[in-house]
Amino acid sequence: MIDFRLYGITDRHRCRNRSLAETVEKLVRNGVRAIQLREKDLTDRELYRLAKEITAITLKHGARLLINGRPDIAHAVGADGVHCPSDGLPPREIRRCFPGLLTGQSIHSLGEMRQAVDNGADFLLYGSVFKTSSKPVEPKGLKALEKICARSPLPVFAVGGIDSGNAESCIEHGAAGVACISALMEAESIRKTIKQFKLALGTL
Amino acid sequence: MKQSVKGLYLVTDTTIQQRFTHEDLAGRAIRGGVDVIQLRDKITPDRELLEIARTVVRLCLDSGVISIINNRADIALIAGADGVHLGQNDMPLPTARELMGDDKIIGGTASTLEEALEVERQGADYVGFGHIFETTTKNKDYPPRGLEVLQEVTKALSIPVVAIGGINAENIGSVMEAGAAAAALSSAVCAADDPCKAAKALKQKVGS
Repeated sequence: MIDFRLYGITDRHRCRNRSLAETVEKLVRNGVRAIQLREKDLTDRELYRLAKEITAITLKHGARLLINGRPDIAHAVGADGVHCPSDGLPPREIRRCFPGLLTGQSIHSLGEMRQAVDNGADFLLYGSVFKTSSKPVEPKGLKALEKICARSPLPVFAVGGIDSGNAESCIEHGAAGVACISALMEAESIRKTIKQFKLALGTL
Repeated sequence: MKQSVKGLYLVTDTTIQQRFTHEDLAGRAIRGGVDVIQLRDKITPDRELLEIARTVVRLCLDSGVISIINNRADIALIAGADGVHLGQNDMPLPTARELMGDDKIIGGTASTLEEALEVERQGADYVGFGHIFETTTKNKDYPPRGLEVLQEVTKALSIPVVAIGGINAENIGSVMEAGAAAAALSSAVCAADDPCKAAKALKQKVGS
C-alpha cells in the first residue's frame, strides 16, 4: 500500500515565485508519488477549492494526495487519503465514516507510535529528525529514528530538516521513506532536486 | 425522518466564558428546555473536539434534542450528530449534502436575503440568518439586519429561518413574531449566571 519513498508536503507560502499548483505539478511530473496538502491558514472553502485543483494534478500523474487533517474534504474532492496530526482525528474513526482513505499519522514519541498503531494508521511520520526551519523544535536525531523504526510494525517516514544529502541516512536507520517541505517547496530546480533524492533513496 | 429545526437553538461557546465546558452547557441548557444545540469550537484540537462532540450528541439523543456541529461535516458524521452548520467560508453546502446524505440536517449562514435564497436553493434544511441585533459574540463588519429584513426573509423562504445575533430575553419574542422558526443564541445562555434558568426563561418566551 505504501509504494512511495518521498512524501512531499506543501506550503504555498514557500514556493518561491511559483504557484502551489505549478509546484505540485512539477513535483509529480518529475516522479514524486505522494503529496500531502498542508495549508493550515485557509478557510474550509478555500481549502476545498485548492484541494480540488491539486487533486486534478496528482490524479493526472498517478500520484497520491493526502489532505492534512480533513477526511471530509479528502473524500469530497476524491483525494487518496488523510494525514492526521498527532492531536487530529484518529485513523480508525476516520475509516468508519470514510472507508478507503489512506491514513498517515504524525508521531513524536514511542508512546504516540503505539497509539497510532492501535488507532489503525497505515503509515507514520516521525520527527523532527534534523534541525528545520519549518518547526522550532529540538531535533530528535537518527538514533531516535532508528529506535522508532525498529519497534514500529508500520512503515515510518522521517520528517524534519530532510534534504537529498541526509535522506539516505534515514533509510539506513530503518525509515521507509522521507517527507519534506522546504527541500521540495523551496527548490530552485525541482527537477534537479528530485533527481538527487532519487539517487539518495534508490526509488521515489 | 429528520426533525425540523424550531424553538430555542443554543450555540455553545467556551471563549466568551470559561466556567462551563461545552458538555456542561449542553447539559444545563437541555434541562432548561432548548430544542437544538450547536457545538461551536474553532480552537480545540480535533481529537479532543470529537470526544466533546460525542458527549454532546449523547446528551441530546437522551432528551430528543437536535445536535448540530459547527462547520465540520467529518466530526458531525463520526460523532453521529443530527447535522452540521456551515458558514459562508465553510465547505460548500452541496458538497456537504453529498457527503452526509438527505437524512442529516444541514444549515447554512446568510446575512442578506440573496444569500438566504441561495442557501435554500443549495438544499439546506434551514437558514441561520443574522445578525438581527447588535452582538458581542462575533465581530461583524456589517450593521445588524433588524426585524424588518428578518420578516422579509422568513416570508421569502420555505425552509425554517433561525434568527441569530444579539437575541436575549427582552427581544426573543419579537424575532418569533417576525416569523423565525427558531431563535439562536449564545451569550444569553452561556454567559448567564445560571444557564439552565436562562434557557428556561427564554424557552417560555419562544413558546412551542
